[in-house]
Amino acid sequence: MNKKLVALVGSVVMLGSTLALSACGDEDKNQFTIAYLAAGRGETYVEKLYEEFQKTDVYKDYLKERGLDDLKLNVIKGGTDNVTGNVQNAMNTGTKVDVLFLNYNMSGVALTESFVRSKQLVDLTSLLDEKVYGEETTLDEKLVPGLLENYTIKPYGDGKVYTLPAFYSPTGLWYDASRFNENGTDGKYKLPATWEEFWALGDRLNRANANGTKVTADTPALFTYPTTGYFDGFIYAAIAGTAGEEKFQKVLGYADGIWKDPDVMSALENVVRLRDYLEPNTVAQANKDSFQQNQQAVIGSADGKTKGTALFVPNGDWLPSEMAASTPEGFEWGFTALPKKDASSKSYVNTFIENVYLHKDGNHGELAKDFLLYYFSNEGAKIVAKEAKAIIPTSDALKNAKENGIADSIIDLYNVYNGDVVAISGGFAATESVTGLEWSDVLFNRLNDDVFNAKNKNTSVADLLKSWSDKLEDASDKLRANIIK
Amino acid sequence: MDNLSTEIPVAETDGEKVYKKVEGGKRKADRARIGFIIATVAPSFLLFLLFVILPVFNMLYTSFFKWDGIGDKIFIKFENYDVLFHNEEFWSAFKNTVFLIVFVTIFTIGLALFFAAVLSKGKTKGKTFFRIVFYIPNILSIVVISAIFSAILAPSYGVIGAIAKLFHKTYTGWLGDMDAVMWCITFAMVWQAVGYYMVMYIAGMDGVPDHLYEAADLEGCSKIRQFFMITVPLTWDVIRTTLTFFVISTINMSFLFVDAMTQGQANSHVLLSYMYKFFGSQYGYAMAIGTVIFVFAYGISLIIQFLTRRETVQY
Amino acid sequence: MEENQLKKTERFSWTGTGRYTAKILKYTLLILFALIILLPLFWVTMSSFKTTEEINADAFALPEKFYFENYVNAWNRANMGAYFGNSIFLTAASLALLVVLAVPCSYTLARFKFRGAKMIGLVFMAGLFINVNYIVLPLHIMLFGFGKAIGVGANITNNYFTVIVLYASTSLSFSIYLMNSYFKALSPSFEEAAKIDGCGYFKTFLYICAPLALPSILTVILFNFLSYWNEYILANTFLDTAKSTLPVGLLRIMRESKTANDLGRMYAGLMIVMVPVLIVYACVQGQLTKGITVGGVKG
Repeated sequence: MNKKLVALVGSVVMLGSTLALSACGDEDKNQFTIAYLAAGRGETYVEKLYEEFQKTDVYKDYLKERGLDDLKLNVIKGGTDNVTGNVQNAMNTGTKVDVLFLNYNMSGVALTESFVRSKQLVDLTSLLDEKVYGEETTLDEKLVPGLLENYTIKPYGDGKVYTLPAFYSPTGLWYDASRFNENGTDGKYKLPATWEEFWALGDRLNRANANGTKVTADTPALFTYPTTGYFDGFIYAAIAGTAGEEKFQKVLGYADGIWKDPDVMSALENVVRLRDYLEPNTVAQANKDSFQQNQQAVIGSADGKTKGTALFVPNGDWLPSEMAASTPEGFEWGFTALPKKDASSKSYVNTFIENVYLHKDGNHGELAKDFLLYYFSNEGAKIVAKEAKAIIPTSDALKNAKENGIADSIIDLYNVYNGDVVAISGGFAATESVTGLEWSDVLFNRLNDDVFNAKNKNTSVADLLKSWSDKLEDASDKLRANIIK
Repeated sequence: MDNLSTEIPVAETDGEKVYKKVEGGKRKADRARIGFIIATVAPSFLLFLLFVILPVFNMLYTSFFKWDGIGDKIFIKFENYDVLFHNEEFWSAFKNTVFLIVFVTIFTIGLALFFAAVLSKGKTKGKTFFRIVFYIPNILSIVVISAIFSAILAPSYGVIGAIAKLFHKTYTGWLGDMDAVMWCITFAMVWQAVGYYMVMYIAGMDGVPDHLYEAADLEGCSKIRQFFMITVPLTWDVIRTTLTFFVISTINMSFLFVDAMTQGQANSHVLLSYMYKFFGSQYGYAMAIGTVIFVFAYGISLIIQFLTRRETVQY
Repeated sequence: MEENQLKKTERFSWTGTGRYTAKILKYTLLILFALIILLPLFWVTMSSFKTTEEINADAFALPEKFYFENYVNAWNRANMGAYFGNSIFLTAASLALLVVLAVPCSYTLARFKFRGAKMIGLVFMAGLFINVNYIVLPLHIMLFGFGKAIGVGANITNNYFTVIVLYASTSLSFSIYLMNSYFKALSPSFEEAAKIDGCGYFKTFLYICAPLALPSILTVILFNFLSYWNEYILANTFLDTAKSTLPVGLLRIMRESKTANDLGRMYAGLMIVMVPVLIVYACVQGQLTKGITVGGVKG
């Protein structure tokens, strides 16, 4: 009976799998596999890059050495929701992935984190000293300074590089440029440079709304946010700006007691205080179904007849294209770094890094490194500019952006790095997972419910701040105990 | 073999001869019978064991491990449960689930009984029309229903906002309001379920003999009294069974609604949606949550069975 | 005598006004609830013909003119046509498998006494409490693990065949339960007659009993048609984008059209999912709204 059962079960399952198997073969040795997120940065840039890469000597030499005729490109791609799942599926079916353009904190499967935890990435430290394709400069010299000093690049904090920044973009506050001018004259607002000015502007707006009028286009609210997920960059820049870079690094390394530090807490206070200055619909719409409605609140109506009901929204450089369909003609976006601590201090811009890395089981590890050196060359920059409309993180790419056909508005955005601005990048030390704990929940996802929800209206800012920093400290303690050495 | 048993020459009594013959025939028939039984029951039963029962045990098993789905499984005994029972969010999800079980059940069963009573026996115009209309929500996908209600409740383009505007009130979206969000989900769930249970009760009530009501009418008994004195007791078995199923289905349905309507915002997570949050990162923990839900669901149905036990009234 | 008469009229008049208010109350509630159900549907229908600007401008206004572009957009841009095909295939195949499995099984369990019959019946009963939502994750882990072990990995989960088997397996309990009382109620004389005519067990079942139980089989098909057509957790967990079913696709369209701020397309997408089901319902509503009587709760 038992044997029969096993046989039957087996045959049922086998039937299913044979149907599935017919579609899948083992051609790994003859293909080069790249996985990438095909959203925001367009859906073709990897294919195009590889096509051009195949024309290089580096590629041809590699083929000759291995006695191969051709290495076909195999791409695994998908949107933010499913790309990690697709990659995981492919790897589980035996596909060896060479290059991955994937980030941390993606929805779906926590793939990058998992690779880091189980040490499946290729050490790229030595690659920094190699010359990029067709040029005399090394990769290290080529890259925009300051981008490598964070845990997304050096996840174990031991100075070794395991991922590289494939894209970078400043995150900060976006606004309707037509509503602001230098001195705040002609019924327009003055762009606040310090937190003090920021809150003063907020209070002025709130007073206008307190006279029985609601938040409208004429009397807008100070602030809205798409979802609380967009607070990551906000929080990083606020901490770096208010508490200084040293304490910011301690935060990222889960240092003991750091969330109880008065400077760090005063940075957090700038987040908590926002609850009194929010566009009223924000909280209800701060989910992945309706967040565009919050972004729309800064733009106003799609036909341009009425202006928005909120002045600022935190976001990255993809915002204008994401909202393009419902942005009226002639609308001009403005972008600014977070307010400064005081007039004499520097302002900090959090840089969102999208990573690229190599998997240690890849079939063509050496070629993959050459591909990366090609990616960071001026030739690579040109292709990415054309296909993805994006600037790769090399100094030359920014310099050549205009002739590579990048729109002025985007170049303007990256010019935020010129001048008195310090670029920082968030990204926390790699840890083992802690059961029942999601760090992003504590750090920003819970803000919607625990801080900004109308239900907390009667709780003081100080109390909200305290309970938040208590939770952060508690979670930070747990994660510190699980840091991967 | 079969042939042997039927054709053994028998020199004894006629009765025995017949008996043996029948015996042999019976054995042959037995084989066909057993063959038929196995052929009809085994495939279903095996698939059922494999894809319904086994996953439940698999869930229990995985709940004792720490596992991210990619790396190694680490046996951690009851740690997942320990963390779970000390987790604020879990208890909030638990509270929400109980909230829905209580209120969705009360409203749905109440309304369904009322409409069933009105539409089964009473002289009501448009009976068929109402039956058909009330049943419509039940045939729609939960995704569709959630989409409809999300749209109605949307602060910027929804119906509620437009109504509020007529009265010069501000409306900022009930789905983001902790006091309102669970009521919105309750409303959508009741909206969806009333028709289905109404039809079930109509079926039950149709079985109650007319002469009981006629007699009650003669006695001058009011319709409301008739409902409680005749209808409810005589359909008690039906009510009892639906109640059990309803509670179980509320636990499931609440997940679909929360997943499609709120994704847990404004503290609206229910047990199953809280479980799904950890899919893709912490499988062991998710399975511990699943096990707790499972035990909870079974427990609650047993309690209902026990509480609603009373002698069945015959008619 | 007179006193008695008085009492009677008194009582009569009381119940009279009582009945009158009760009647008003009854119809008010009935009509109110009917409106609560119909108005949202009407509103969605109306909105699906409006441009996004119109929708944003006034939630109540009727469409200025029928803007069919929304439907074209939803159908083409959002790949609704493909999702539609996927859903039809999955639903039909799952129903076929379910009928092949559940009908004979239910028949045997209802009409044969054999060792273990009671136990098997109880196990199926227990399954009534195991909803697919609980077990989707362990199912996925289990099958995925198995796929990995035999080297096909996700091809086993991201697979129509698997989903069909799972759909059928997880609705066995309910279906067997539903048909059980129907098979039980059949008179044994049918089988006896068949036996005398020399029919075997299979023939008896196939040509005599199954046709007799046709109404309950239809009920099973109808209920499961709805649940398969509307199912989305399992489909969402197992199948990738290219294999999406209608509800999963709808969820995606909703998110995408909100991202593109194209609300008209969202409402049109809703309609495309809703209308076929409503049409089927209109044809079979009689069977559905009385169908539950068959086995339903009185088992």
